[in-house]
Amino acid sequence: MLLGAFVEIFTTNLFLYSLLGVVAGMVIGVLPGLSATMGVAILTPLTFWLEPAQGLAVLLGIYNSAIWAGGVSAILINTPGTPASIAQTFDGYHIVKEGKIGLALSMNTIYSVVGGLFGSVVLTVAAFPVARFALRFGPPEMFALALFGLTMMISVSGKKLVNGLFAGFLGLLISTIGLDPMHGMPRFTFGNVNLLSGVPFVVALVGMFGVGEVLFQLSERVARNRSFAGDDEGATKLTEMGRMWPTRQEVRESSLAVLLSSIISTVIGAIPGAGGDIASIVCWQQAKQMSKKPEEFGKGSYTGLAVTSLANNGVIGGAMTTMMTLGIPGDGVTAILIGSLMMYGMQPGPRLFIEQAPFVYSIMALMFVGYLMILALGLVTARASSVILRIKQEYIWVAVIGFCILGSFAINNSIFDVVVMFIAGLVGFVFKKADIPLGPFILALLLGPIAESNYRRSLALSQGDMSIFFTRPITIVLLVVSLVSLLWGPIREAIQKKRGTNEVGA
Amino acid sequence: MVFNGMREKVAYFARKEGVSDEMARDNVIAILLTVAGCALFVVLWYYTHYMLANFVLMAGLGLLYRVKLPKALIFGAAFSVGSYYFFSKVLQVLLLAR
Repeated sequence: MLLGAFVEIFTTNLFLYSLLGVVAGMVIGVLPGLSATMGVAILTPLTFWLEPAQGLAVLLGIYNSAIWAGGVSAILINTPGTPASIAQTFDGYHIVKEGKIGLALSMNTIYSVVGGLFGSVVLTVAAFPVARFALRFGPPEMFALALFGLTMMISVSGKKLVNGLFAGFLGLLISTIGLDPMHGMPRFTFGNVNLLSGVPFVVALVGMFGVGEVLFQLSERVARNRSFAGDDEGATKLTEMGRMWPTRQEVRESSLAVLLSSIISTVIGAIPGAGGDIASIVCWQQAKQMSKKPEEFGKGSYTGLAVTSLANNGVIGGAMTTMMTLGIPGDGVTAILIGSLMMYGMQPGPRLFIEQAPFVYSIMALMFVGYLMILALGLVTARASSVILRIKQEYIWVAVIGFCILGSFAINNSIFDVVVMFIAGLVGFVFKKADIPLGPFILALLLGPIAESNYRRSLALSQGDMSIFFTRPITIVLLVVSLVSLLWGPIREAIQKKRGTNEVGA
Repeated sequence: MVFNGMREKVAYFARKEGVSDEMARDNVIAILLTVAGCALFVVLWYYTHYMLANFVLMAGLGLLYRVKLPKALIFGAAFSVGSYYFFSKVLQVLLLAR
């Protein structure tokens, strides 16, 4: 069936839609003002009129390509195009300053494709077995899984645990707006019929990641009429490409680190809430520890650039596996992809693999084809990337607001959704300024209804007996892991403080 | 959150480093007027036509962000007309507020 999916892509217009997505993702990813999450959020409603496979071809193309392209601006102007590209600035920019622009860009392309293809292989191999296992999940297991997703997202907030908890609980509260899932009674709708189906998830995302981000960038503006390259001189200096390809020795020296990073990044991607930013930093640190020349890391190490380029695309396969098999998003973009699948009337989870198996194979094939396109496009258009960076920020901001309006209106042809989108934009702006992570809020908005309906269904099955959550092995494991992940951060901090006090005392 | 902020000495909503007083004031005005502009857009769209409302918003925001007047007007016109015809003719979505 996978072969059939490949044939379908190359014999129908799916190839063109995927190419469209890859090109759009390249533009979105290169511009530091736009992230992959923002791009997918804004363009999701615009794919509503396409067939599901066509829409996903565009969105997956944007997702994969934007993450790769984020490394281009990270390398060229030391400003990550997407959050996942932060670690690429550690070494990529130094390699460019040495005059090896072509090498840096080609390494970003090649290793992004390697990471992405590895993740796609994992998706292809692991998805169906995981989905078969997940078919054994009943309401108690689904409740525990939703809780696990929520606590993981909160626990990766790190030192901002309190902020993460606040965002998570606020998201849970907002998710209760609408009709009660068991009794059908309206909750918190205040008589507004538009709120009977709850706060529209995709609309809220578009607002928070679109308008919210524009307002945030406005608040941090240091100069007017500036391009993303900082100044035009900076952008025009990028003309001498130097050598394009790594040497055999460079490839050999980095091969072990590359292999390990492929595995690490895919595993991290599968964890809800952990995205490319975490994976690339973890892989960079791991490679530095393993390296015979750790002093080169952070000063233009080829291995450093290779593993970071690989890691931020390697997470995608893991995140897609978790999203498709369990219905739990692995990162922000997969949360939006869940929304887009729901827009097409599909519910991600194990049943998707039974009811829509050809569609699932199409997604797997599209991942592979997308990366091959990125390889070709990336190696050919390396020099052209600097041109995109000359666009003035102001045009991007205005265009983003315009697309947000169109996208949010287009889902239900309702101006109410546009109003919700603007309000969500304000909320997103306030969250960013107050250092409150958006991830827990979005995940709670998505997982809240799943957690609630499965919790209530479990109690209905057990006739109110809570022991249903403590007598099923999978449920117990998930609940224990959730508790540990939530408490681990504060416990580790307390232990470190105590160690620090003991050492001072000694 | 407030307690945590006081304990960690975190200043929420603090100005970013490198932003001058003049730019900070400009940024606050830009944000407030952007929000007001979006509200005005919704009202205009409800009572008039999408193209007019969108043109006012796009051109207005362009001018607010200090884009030159001719470029702001051209960009606003192109976006509002282009988006209207793309949605109504290609995607068959009527951009009517009521």
